[in-house]
Amino acid sequence: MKNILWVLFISLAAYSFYQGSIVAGSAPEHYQLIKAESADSSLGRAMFRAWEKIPYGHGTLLTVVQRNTHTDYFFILTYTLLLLLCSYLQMQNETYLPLNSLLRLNILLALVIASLDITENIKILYNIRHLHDAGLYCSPYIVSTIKWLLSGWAVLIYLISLTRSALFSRRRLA
Amino acid sequence: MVNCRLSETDKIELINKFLANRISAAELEQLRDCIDAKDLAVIIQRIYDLNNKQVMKIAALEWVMGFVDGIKNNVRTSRFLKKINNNFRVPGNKIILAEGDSWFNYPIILTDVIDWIAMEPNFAVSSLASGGDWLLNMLSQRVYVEELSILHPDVFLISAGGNDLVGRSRVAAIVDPTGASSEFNDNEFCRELIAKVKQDPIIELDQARFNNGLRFLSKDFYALLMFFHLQYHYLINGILTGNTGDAANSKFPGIQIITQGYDYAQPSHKLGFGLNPLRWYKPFVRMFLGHGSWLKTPLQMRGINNEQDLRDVVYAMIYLFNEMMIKTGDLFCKLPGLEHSVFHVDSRGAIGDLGWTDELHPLPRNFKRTGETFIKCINREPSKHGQVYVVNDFFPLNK
Repeated sequence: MKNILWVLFISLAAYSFYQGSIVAGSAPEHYQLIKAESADSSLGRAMFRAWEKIPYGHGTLLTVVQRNTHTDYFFILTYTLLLLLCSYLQMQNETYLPLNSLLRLNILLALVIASLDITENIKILYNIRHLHDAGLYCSPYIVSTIKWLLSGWAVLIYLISLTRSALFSRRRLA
Repeated sequence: MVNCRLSETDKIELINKFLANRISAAELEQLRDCIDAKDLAVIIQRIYDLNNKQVMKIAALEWVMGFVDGIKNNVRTSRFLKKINNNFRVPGNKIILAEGDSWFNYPIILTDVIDWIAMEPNFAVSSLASGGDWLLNMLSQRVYVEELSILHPDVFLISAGGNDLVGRSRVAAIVDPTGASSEFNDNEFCRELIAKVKQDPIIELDQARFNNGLRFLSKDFYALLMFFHLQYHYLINGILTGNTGDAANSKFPGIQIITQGYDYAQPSHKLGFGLNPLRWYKPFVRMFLGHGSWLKTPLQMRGINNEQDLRDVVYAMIYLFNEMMIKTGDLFCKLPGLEHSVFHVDSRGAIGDLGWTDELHPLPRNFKRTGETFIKCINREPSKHGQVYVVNDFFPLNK
């Protein structure tokens, strides 16, 4: 199960990266796709308008951005399951109670992060849909910042626990 | 039934006395030596007023629980096999088989007793435990028998009885809401257990709470408690002597059996909201996983509403349950060749009032203390109380 999730995670991350490189490479301003998450109203609109003007395949770069956002839902599902599973399995190895409790908190955080990421995607798709409607831009900046902070924390706890377990078991073997 | 000296008619008469809570300690001993799986089935049908099919149906695991428990057991099995495949079976390492209920397999979210034990690098733990499982189900399915013959483990851990007592609102059927019960006085087996406590207590008895709780325990509770005694005796006797009463006939010589008897659970409906983010799961568990339905609701259904009475009923039940378990183990420790075979981990008073995730299950830190006491027992570190390992002796409760 874990291996399947890792394969899916890496494949979707690579595909997302590929879409991101198309968008960044084709637009004259070289706007990074990831910037759509943190852009304020004026930068966001400027990015979307720039992408809208550049044809790509049967549509424009904005179509690629939309497709990327849709793909992101699968990515969210994959990384959430992966974070849940890895934290759970590591919890079964973690003898140090505070870290064990923090890994348990990761289970909740995985769900919160997924919800934030879904909210962020909904906001991005809303902004694309209302690109030409004045005053209807909804910045995903705050949601995105919280999502990245929580993700960083969850991964950090997992890595600390993983390192601790590895060192501990090596010391025991020695 | 090598030691059985009862005719079939005498046996039936003793079973009737047993169910009426009028059996003497000597008669219970006679019955114990004659009991077989068929008799156990007859007794439980009469305690529960159900036919065998219905009894098995209520004792069986619900499929959702079976599925969720299976997830944890699958992870445990893969870790067990990983160790075994690395030439684990050498002196100093221990193969452990665990059978039991939610104290040994709490679905995913809590790190339970077996999770903590399995983290020991020199233990390989194979688990059959399932949250919500009944002792009755374990004995009738006999999966542990098959696993024992395959693994020949060094240690067999068992945690069972809690669901037989409180599962499916059964606790409502074993109380007397009038608060006027004097059935304890008619039960010589339990009176002897408490007489022993008064001479040499392992856990101090709070006489006021105990007496208050006893007022609400009906004859069916005592029948169930003695039934647990017969079941555990049957199970342990099967493993240690092949049901012959002679250690020489054991298929598993040298095996260590460790039992446990829970702590004084807390009847409650509170949802447990709080500010500690590390306890985020508490309200979640309490809302969705049965909190309140095991103890408080069934007892209130029968009209026991006073908070202190509710707590004291559970206090008396758990106190007697643990003493019964200790007595059952002692019987085997008196047999030649089995002096150091059966142990009991005693969690009474180890969790306190605030250390619970829900009505029946401790917080992970308290599961850890019980787990670490098991580890000390498995490693045969000396205990003040011989075969009984008291959690509070090794890891005192921080109040």
